[in-house]
Amino acid sequence: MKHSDPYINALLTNDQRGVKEIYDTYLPRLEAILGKMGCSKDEAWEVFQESLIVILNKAQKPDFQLSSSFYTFLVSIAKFKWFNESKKKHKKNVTIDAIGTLSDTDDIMESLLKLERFQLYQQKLKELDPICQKLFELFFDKVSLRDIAVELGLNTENAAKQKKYKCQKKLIEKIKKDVIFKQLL
Amino acid sequence: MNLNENNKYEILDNYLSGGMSAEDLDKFRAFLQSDADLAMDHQIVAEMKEAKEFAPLESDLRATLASIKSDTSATIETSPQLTATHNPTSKTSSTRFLYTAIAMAASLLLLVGVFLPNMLETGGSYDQYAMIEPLDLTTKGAAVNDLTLTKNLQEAYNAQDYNQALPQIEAYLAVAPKDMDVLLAKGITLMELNKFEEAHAAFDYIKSLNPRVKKYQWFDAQCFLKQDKIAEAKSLLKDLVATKAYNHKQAQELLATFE
Repeated sequence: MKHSDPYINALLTNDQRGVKEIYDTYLPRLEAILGKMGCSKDEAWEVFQESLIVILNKAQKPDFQLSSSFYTFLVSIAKFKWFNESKKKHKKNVTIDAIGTLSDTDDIMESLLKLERFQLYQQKLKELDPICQKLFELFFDKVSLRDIAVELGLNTENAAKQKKYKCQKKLIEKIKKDVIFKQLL
Repeated sequence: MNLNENNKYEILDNYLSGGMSAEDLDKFRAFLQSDADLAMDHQIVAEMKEAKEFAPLESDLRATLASIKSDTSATIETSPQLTATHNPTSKTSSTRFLYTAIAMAASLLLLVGVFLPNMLETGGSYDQYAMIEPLDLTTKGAAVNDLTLTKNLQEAYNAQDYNQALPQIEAYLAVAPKDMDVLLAKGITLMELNKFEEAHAAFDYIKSLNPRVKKYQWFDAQCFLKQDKIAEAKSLLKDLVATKAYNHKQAQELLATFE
């Protein structure tokens, strides 16, 4: 997973020196740009962090291509993120002149929403009963259904499978009922 | 394929794991097209899997960022303490004095080695206030059809490679001579290359086109600042403040630093 852009590569490999360079180079610039849109320094830090997570999420896909400079990409995502955040936090729309600086603006918005859905899924998982939580933990760690059955004290592999579908159903119902989920689609 | 509430998650699992026959695959895809509820279930299950796979990467990056932020905050908090100890009237211990001396020597070295050349080259106030935003030609729809030229121009300019950007800006303006964004980019580029007369001429040309936003005036002021022509810069900044034009708050702040 190596990318030609050194900053993208630093994010993908979690290279501390590279990430520090991104922090030193771009956080002050973002603070200045977002500051003009009513964003405090603390909020800019949050936006900066979440924007890097979005970039990481996109960059780990095999078909990812950086169609602009890293800075342009980061600023575009950060502007969108702040646009969303200010709507939520301050109940007001900020005006973004020439919103974003990339052609695939829908894609950025979708990436931001998707990462927020990821957080909601985590939150809903924690609301499940402990057995379902354990079952999902094992399942996502690629533990076999036979071993999951043993771990959870179930008689058969099929019993583990049925338990998994029941837990999945509960989880999906919880997610779909959540009003925030509908806003994230 | 008989799809119902009792077996739909099993079938979804089969679909996502690639364990479905070609015939069932077609049928299931047809279900996904026609059943919005099933499509949503599919989206959630697929994204849950993706979220779980992404979680370690995300968590590692968050930890790295938190550590960098914490280190930076610690440095910022430590600096004033060290400076405060260097008070000739206070009774400082020899150790504290030694630390202070080391810190001051390091600061001096940093000043001479890093900041001073920059300040001499660009002027302190200029460096502090001239925040240059990235050029955005692809989103707004470039006035020039040559996509390669547009892309190269944008990339060179946004990467602050002004030597590379300038000929491409000229080529772009030869086709679209009144593109405000690129005209402004030209002025900024010339300013960054220390071609001050040409930069002022570029800003004056924008002014002659009578644009609604006085962004050019802000950068014209920065251009004067970069040459230490404070009076000329102040005049332009005062006008920005008086007319509540582009960056008038920053102009006010900047003017205050001259008082």
